[in-house]
Amino acid sequence: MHFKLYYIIIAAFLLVSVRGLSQDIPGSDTGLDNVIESIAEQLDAELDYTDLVERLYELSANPINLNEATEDDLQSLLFLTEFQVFNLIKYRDEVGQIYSFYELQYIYGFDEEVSRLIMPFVTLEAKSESTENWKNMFKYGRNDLFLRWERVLEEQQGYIPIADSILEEDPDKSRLLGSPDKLYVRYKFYYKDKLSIGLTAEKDPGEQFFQGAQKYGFDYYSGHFQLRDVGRFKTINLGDYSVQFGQGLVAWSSMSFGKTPYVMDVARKARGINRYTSTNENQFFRGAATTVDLGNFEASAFFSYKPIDANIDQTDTLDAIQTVSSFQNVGYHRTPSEIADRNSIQEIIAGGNVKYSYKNLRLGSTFAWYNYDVDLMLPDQPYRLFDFQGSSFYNAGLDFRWQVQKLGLFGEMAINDAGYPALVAGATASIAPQMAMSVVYRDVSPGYYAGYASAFGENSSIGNEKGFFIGTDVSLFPGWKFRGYFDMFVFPWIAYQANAPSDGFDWFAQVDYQLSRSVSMFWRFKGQEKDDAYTPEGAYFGVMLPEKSFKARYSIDIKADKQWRLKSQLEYNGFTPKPDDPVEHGYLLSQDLIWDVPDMPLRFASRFAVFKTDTYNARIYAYEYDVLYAFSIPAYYYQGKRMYLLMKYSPLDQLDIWFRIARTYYNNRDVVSSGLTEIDAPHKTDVKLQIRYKF
Amino acid sequence: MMKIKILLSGLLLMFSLHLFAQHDKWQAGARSAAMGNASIANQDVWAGFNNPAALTGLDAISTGVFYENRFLVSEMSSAALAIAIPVGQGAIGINYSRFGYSLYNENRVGIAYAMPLADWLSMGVQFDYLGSVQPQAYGNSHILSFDIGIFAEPAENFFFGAHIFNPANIGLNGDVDRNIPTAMRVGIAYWFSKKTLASVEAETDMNTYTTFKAGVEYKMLEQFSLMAGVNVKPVRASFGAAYEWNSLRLDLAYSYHQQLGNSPHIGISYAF
Repeated sequence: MHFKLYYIIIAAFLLVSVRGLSQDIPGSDTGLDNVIESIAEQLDAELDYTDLVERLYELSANPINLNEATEDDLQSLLFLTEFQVFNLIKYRDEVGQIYSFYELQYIYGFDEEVSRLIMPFVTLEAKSESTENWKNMFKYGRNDLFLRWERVLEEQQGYIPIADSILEEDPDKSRLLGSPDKLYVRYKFYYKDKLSIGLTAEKDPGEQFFQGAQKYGFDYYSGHFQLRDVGRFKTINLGDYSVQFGQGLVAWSSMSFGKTPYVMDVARKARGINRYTSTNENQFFRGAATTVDLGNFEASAFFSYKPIDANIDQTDTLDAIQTVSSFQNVGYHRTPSEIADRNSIQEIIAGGNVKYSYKNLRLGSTFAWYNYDVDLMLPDQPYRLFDFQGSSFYNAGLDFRWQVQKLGLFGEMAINDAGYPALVAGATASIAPQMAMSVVYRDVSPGYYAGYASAFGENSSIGNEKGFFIGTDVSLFPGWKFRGYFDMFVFPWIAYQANAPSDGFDWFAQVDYQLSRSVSMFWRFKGQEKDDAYTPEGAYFGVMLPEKSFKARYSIDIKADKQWRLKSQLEYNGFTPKPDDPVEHGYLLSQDLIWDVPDMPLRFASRFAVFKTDTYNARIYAYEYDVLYAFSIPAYYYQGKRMYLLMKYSPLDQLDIWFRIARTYYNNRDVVSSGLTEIDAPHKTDVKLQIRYKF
Repeated sequence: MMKIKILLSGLLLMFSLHLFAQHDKWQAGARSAAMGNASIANQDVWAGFNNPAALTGLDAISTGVFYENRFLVSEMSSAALAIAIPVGQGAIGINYSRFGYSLYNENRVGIAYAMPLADWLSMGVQFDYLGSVQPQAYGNSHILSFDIGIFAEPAENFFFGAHIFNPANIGLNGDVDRNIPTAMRVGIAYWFSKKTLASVEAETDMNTYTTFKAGVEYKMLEQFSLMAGVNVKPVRASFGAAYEWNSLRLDLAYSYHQQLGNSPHIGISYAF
């Protein structure tokens, strides 16, 4: 799993509607849904999108003045393409001041949709002197506190008490030591975007609380201090922070994703150093970092020291060599073995970046050095031949971005201490008024490894991939839009569960239709063929055969009036494990109903869905509304129905309360899930309660 | 070197099995290659290879030469020559192509005639001589066959094309008898602006393969164009650039086949 959170913003912003933000039920607009769903599908995981949502809210609270914004400010809006930024500045230079949002859609590269989308995040004030004043900090500073509790109501196997006699024999018997409650607390004090101090704490289900390994209460604590734009310092960060530079080959610690429905957003726009507030327990830096502004140059340095989880097989005390069978990155510390792996290695990261800007050209150079307190020796399996061994390594890279008229170019090349190279390069271009295209080429050597890095590609981890992506975005007729991409990839070296070099391709096509102001719909098709290992019965070695999937979705969204919104979705997933196998089918039909109670600070969102999938392979991911800063994209599989109800009540301006209950019934199962989380009943129920207090 | 030999023997095996069935076998032109061979609506001198009905779009006598080196294996190169002559409302095309090397080669000679059926619709028919030469092993085989294309502009800037190769399923006679399947291509193309052409097409022999192709051409400057294309099954990506100097056009293309690797293509055409 990899987490490069900020990149989601780029894409997410694209379709975030004004209405979507004014509503507080997060993701109640289709654009954000789309991105997150698409990601979840790719990563098969529920991720923590806190940073994304937070950034959306922050931007809407502190909109960017288009008449004053520098190019970097506009880039930080992130959902504008570089081509649009380029034209916006050109237009502003020509006319002096932009007076109306209606002007925006006449700027080359803009359309009504884009100008509508950016409205919540920008203003059009006349140029003015800065009003920031540190004296106002405590007057205008804001506090934001979140408390969340959630739990699965059914009893799960791992929580059933085990007789002492069994534990005497096997004290490490796998079981969940804590309670099934999940707790989350987040507090932040901030003054505009100048100062931010915060603390995030989380206890996952099954983890202990003020007990055992978690004697300080929560299993995970994360704190940050961030100061922005003080003298020459662009940012000063202490505590937890994230790092993004270049195109992600060397340093990119937050979540990102490559292929999304937003086919023109293939170039990474690195945000440098940023505070970290998410609950992912691995993908962040802990220590100090800063960025200094030196005119055309910008220099950043970071240092991080934190423990990480790893499964240590054996320790040779004479040589102090440890064999690490795997790094653990799920962030769960619930069972005796998970607790044994917890914080077992100390990791030091040091590095920096230098960036040079000249007009529309950006050049950068990034370096990152890693050191571990043990010598890492991975088991010598062939697919790990190129993996890192030893106690320290480094990566270095050069990157660029250049906007030349309608053509945007970007790329990064990098090398690690073992001498293996990596390259990502691409271009975006507006080739006709209604048509834009993007291409990305990547060639990352099997021997290229990097610690916190993530670049464009098919694989979520970096290394061992070569590929070519081409995408297009076309406005067909008024109201109709087409987007599509095709991506081919080769994995030149063997990989986990792939006993030969392999390859594959995937494609995506979507038609969006805006029938009227209140009715929109889309048809989406996705297909993939990718080699997968298959071992015939009796054979010792497997062969690589392509597994195929084809997905189709129709979705219609009706915002009938200010009170009601209806959303329906029909989805099909056809999966073929290997050539000549029968197709495994999956279907999902869901109906959402969203109701804003008139004249009351009360809002409901609900869903009823039926699903039937032949196998787990034919599962379907569907985005669900959730409490603010939490996201649900569960996989629907086997046969049954699912429903949920989300309620948000805001009795005071400062206070919001959310409650959510979701339940899945299975028609053809007697148990749900397996292992420690197995439920001995054909249903599963989740409840969630969240309180937010702003003061 | 070893690798090339293995590749070569593998490829030859493949080719001799599906000799005339291989996809876009009879297409030619570096512009077409750069656009992933999604060229059913390309109105250029190479229409004789890509869709003879589109020859009606030419308004001057034109000629072109083309060379490609598949997968950088010199034994797998092919060369082509095309001549197009507008005659009244229609056009005549004369086409020659050769694939292979001295120990194995395939040759095609085609004579095409294209004529308009309506102001938005045209049709083209081509008579083909197909011959394969394998002097050491199997000797020679040859046939006479034909191919038919239609080309239409039902709406402004929107084109439709269809092409059937060897519709009568005529086999190869001679020292070795061989089946040559019927292959069909259907596609559409749209000029988004005077500078931008996008096209997609499907090709199938209804038996051994079905392939999808998409291509785009962008006239970046008055004299300079960029092209790109992709194919699904086999998976292939292609790019190209063209430079036009008065009536002379130079096309350079490069394609990457996911399993077989890189191929360069070059073409020069001239309109009198």
